[in-house]
Amino acid sequence: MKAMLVDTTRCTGCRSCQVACKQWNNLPAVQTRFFSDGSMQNPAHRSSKTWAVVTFHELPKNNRPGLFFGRLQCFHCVDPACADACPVHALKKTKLGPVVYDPGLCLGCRYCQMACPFNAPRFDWDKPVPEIRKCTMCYDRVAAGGRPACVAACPAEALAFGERSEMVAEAEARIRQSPARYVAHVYGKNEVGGTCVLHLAAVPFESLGYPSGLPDEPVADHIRSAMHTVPYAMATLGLALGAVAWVVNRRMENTGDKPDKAE
Amino acid sequence: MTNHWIDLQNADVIMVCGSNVAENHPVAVRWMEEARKRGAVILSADPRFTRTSAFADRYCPLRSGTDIAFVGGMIRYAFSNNRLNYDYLRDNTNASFIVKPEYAFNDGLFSGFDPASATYDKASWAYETDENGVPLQDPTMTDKRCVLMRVKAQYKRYRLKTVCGIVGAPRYLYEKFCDLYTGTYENGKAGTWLYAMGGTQSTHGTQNVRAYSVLQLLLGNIGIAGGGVNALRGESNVQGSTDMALLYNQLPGYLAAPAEKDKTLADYLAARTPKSADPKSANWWQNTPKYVASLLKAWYGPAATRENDFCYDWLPKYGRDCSYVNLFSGIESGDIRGLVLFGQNPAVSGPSCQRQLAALSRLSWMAAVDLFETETASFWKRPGANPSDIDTEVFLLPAVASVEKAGSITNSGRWAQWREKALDGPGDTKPDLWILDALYRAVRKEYERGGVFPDPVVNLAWNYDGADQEPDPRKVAQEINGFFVAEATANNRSFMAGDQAPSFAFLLDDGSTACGNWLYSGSFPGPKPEDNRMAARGIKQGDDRIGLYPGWAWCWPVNRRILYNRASVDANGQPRDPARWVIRWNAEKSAWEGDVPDGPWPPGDRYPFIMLPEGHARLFAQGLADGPLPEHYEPWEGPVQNALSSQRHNPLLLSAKGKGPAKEPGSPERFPVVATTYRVGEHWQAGALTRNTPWLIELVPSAYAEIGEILAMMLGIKNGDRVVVETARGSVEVYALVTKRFGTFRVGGKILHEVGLVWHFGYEGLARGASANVLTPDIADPNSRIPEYKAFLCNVRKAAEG
Amino acid sequence: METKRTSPGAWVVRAVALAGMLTIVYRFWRGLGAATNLNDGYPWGLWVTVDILAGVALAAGGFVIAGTVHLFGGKKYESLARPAILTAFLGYLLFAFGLIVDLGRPWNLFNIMLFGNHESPLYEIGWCAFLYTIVLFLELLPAVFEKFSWGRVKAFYLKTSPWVVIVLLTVFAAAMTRSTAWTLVIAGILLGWELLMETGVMPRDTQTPILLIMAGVIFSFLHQSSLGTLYLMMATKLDPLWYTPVLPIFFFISAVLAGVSMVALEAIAAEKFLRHPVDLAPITTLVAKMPLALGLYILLKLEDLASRNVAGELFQFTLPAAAWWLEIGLGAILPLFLFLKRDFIKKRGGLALICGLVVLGLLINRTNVSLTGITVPRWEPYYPRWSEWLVTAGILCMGFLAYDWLTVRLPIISVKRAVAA
Repeated sequence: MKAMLVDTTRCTGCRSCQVACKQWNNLPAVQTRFFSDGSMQNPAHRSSKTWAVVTFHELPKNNRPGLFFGRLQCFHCVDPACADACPVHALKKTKLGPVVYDPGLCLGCRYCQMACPFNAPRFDWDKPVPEIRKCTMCYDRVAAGGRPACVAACPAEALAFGERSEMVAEAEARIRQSPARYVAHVYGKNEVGGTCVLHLAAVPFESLGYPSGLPDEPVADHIRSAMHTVPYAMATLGLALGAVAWVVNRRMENTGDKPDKAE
Repeated sequence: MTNHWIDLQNADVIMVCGSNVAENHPVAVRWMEEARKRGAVILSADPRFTRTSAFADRYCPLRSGTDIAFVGGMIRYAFSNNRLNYDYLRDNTNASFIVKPEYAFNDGLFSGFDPASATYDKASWAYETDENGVPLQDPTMTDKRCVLMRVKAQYKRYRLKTVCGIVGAPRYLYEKFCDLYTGTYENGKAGTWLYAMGGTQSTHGTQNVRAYSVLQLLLGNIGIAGGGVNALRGESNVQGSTDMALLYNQLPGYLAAPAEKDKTLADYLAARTPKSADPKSANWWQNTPKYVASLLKAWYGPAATRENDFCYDWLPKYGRDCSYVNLFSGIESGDIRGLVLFGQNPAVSGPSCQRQLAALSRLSWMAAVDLFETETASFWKRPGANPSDIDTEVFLLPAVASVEKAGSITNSGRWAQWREKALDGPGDTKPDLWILDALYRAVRKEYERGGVFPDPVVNLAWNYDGADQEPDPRKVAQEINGFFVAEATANNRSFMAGDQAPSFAFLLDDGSTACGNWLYSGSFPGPKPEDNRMAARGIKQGDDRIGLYPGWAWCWPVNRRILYNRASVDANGQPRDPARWVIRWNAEKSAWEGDVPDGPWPPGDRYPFIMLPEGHARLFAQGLADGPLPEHYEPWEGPVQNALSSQRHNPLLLSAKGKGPAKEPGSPERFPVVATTYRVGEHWQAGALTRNTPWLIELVPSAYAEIGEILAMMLGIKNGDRVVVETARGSVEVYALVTKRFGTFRVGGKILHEVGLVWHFGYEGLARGASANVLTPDIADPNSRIPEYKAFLCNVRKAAEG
Repeated sequence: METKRTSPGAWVVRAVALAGMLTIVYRFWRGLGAATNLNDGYPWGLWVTVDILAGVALAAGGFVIAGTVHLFGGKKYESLARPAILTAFLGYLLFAFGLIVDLGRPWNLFNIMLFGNHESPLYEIGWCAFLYTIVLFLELLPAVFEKFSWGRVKAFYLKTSPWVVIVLLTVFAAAMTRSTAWTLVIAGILLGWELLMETGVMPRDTQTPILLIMAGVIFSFLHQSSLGTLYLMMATKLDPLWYTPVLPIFFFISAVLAGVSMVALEAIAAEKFLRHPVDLAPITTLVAKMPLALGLYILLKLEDLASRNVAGELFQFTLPAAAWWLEIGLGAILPLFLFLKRDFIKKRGGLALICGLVVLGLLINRTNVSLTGITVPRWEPYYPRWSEWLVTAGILCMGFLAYDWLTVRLPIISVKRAVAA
């Protein structure tokens, strides 16, 4: 299973990755005005036309100015909530790692959007024939043995790509080697069961706009137990309701309490 | 760059001062990161906390235009903490040279100043020499008149407190910078200094760069891996165009352009060929006659003979300052009537660009070669102009983009890299070479019918047609490399007519060689396409030791990747830094190993700085117009008095009066806020390309000014408000980016504020906005004539609603 | 009656229905973004909350009454059954219609049947709602047979409908479990009951197929609770005041309560606006049993909050806390207090008020779960666009019109039947 490693401490906010993403995936530019955030972030959010956004955070550090970057995209969970949420398998986790989408199956119910803890899937709100769109980790390139377009474009080598186990090891090695540079946490190693986009940062992840406090269990675990009770509930109800109806009707017959006859 | 991009990985301390490398040269950070992996520290000094500062390990604020104070303080710190590389200074620099006793420095003025003309008589800045003209030296470097002591005396005044009071930095930050950077004085430690327009676009820009050089020499950081004074060029091929004589006072290969006083070739060569009486000085420029003769042969072909001075008479001789700013004065006055612009957009990029726009309508004709209709190309229909009032005939020739044509570009590290055409340009677009070729042929046709002085035009050696009858850039490259026009023997090798020159060492002054640019000789040393060394893409094992990659592309001169590399070795040719050695002498083989050395001589045979007649790098230099040592002055529009002398700004600026800026400088009382201009990573220069690329417009859609939170609070400006920024030249309305990243500067007891504006915008293209260059002063550095875009005074206010 | 149908109110209903339908046309023409304020931060809005979550819950009266009457021997409530079933049937048709309006790619709707992901709660809801609508249709058919006196058809219906039900439930079991064993178990249970009835061991209700009613209850239980399961996926987004592993149970209980209240409200409304004669007695009797369930519901909610150590958040000055108190205060506590007043529900106004509060409580609850309690960082809050309100109102008005049209033409209202008889 492949994974991307995003070392936000190496990021310079150049956004080559953002443009490379649009170029490779043939996504249109969106209309922006000035900047959408206190610093130079644009656009404000990911959308069906912007699958990855470099986020800008002006955070003073030791009373001096500081500028930090984050990168939001589909994190390609190891056990993705969206794929479990989707009633028609339009979103699927591939063995290679990317979570991919098939518009031919999709209902447009947008449950994937609700389910994703990272708000990754985006919807074509402006189209009568909409699709769910999000980062595909350049599945086409990766399947052909390549790297995602953003990784190839990054001049700072803030983005790396490889086997997930190697990326986790690399991330942990970087923290070990430069403990002062990083917060001691590989975001995505364990979050919601692990993601295939791993992150390193110099400041706490929630200050860079990453969802915080995520459990280590996959989000889908929460529905699995509920879903697994369905056949039990059916069988139990089937037996119980039948039995009740039998008993109640037998008793009413015995007492002659037949409403249709009584009235 | 004395070094090159990959070499940044070898540094122990990387100082980014006067540059925003992460935004404007994004690929560089890859090599800076490599250095950091090895434990290097990255320092960023800048008026505002940039994306480079975010990438760096430490940041120190630096008010625009105060680099010399910043560096001067470091020089003093190095002296007072004994952080000088004395061996290096003695062997490689003019530290031990004795300066004439008449030399003096007093209250901001060097000796020899003539207030009437605002120029220096530089005679007193010369070395004392012996009877043969060899400079006198004091190897102990303790003589009061020796250069090192002169330097020490000059910067004694640059105390920490004084400097912090000028640049506006907190002392603890600045002191830490001094400590970290001067720590590279030891052998085996390397510090690199990266600068760009923040250093050069100043009325003392050349002296800014000199200051970086002086510090680097004192610390022994020139010529070594991971060191150097590294100019990060502002455009991908500006190094190449400078090499090919971008400036009016140069011929290709940094040969001086003939001036009016150089009446004959002999006059020219006598004046322009430096001499040295010291046998250990290589004095490379003594070869000037060979390069000039070869250049003229390349231009005029058979018409150029030894007898007619190789048609030297046909060269134009300049009689006055024809630099960029004065070019527009020439247009204003009607001296210049036609203008050809190749990918240039002065209506956005020129200082006081409103004045330049107005000047354009004085032209009879203008031809703009570009990918899009730029602001300059459409000046006649700009907002507020009445096309019927403008008589200028304007031609717009569609050019192809860089990937749509073959040719070489030379990067900041002096690597000439050949690129093949990736795809055809759309429609009728043509490569620049095609357009130039067609233009020349049309002009020659006119002159063949007659005209005033047709000889230089009709006799030009001009045939670059390739197999397909289209001009072939390879033919141009081969001519630039140079070739033999006649059978000759050079350097003990014999050549046939038509042979490509192997390098400039084989060029001759007798007319048997032709060479378009001696610096590039060796880049295309054979007739076949595979002889094009600029197209070489070879990587050998071991190339990654210090990252020279000699088989990848070609670098001038003679593929030397690190300039002045002789300074990296001791008298025996052994490297001062054995771990990251650049060159070393193999005594057994009697040969150099590693990079191409500065000349083939064995160690100790020649002084290391072979381009200078004294063979030693200049801490103290006679060459510049405005002083032998860099001295701090406020910008032309400075917000405060000079804290170091009563000389407020560069004394030579007086000479610019009358023919220079159209308006008087704005006063700090009326314009209390310091202003600067810069670029962002998302846009390119004057914006013709990027402001027509929606993906980039999405990222930075509009012109804006960055304003610190405190100033914004005082002025009642919120993030995203429209603000008016006004200077003595004009005013613009832009968005306000209120940011924590612009602090205040405590200068001379005052709190100063600074704002910064991006200058990419104009009124054409998909994304439009005000050009910051409406505000910038058209006052230039007295040496380089680069305008002071980077430090001026302004006033900021919230724009009226609606 | 006719005068009511030409009254200004009736024309308003028709106008709103028409405007709603036109807005739907606009929505399909220009896309969801043009017709709604939905966005990537809030991809589910008013339509999901009201048309789907609340709509389905409020239609729960159908299975509750049907089950009570036919399974639990509550024959005294029989007069409520047909209106409730009709309401439920119309409710589900409108729910399906609302769903199609809300879906981005409704033409792929039947992919659920063909390529479904049986792990998804939406898949289960889709199947259940689809099959339950069929069940409701079957439950309604006798009224049609009566209207046209199709005795033989009805006999055929009574004979075959158990088998239809067995097939439906078995198919559903197979679809949900993808397990032969489970499919056989479910089929076995159903076949067992049918066999017992066929052989006379177990008495058979000659008028109503008992398996049909059972299927209705099973499907309803499953999808009413699964609407809660949907939100178990929003573990990281839904406020802990609502996010609980037992959310499906709460959804089911609240749906039962609100479903019953809705039946009562409909009866009162039908009497007032459509001049249907209504016998309030069974309704009052049924509603009188609600305090127990309401109290249980409140206790369960509090116990759940306490066990998850989030009860403290109720007493913080936050929007979710206020929303929670509004929901429980209006929808559960206040009705409970009103029940304390003797004979309060005997009066139409009192009955309507209590049931109205319970229905309102459910609406607030569903809104809280689907909108108020969802936090989306760095996103402007979502407020429905006027066109969203118009579509929801339009669909509702379509429902009124359909209900009126059908009750006039089919023997639905029992008192009328009684009178006619």
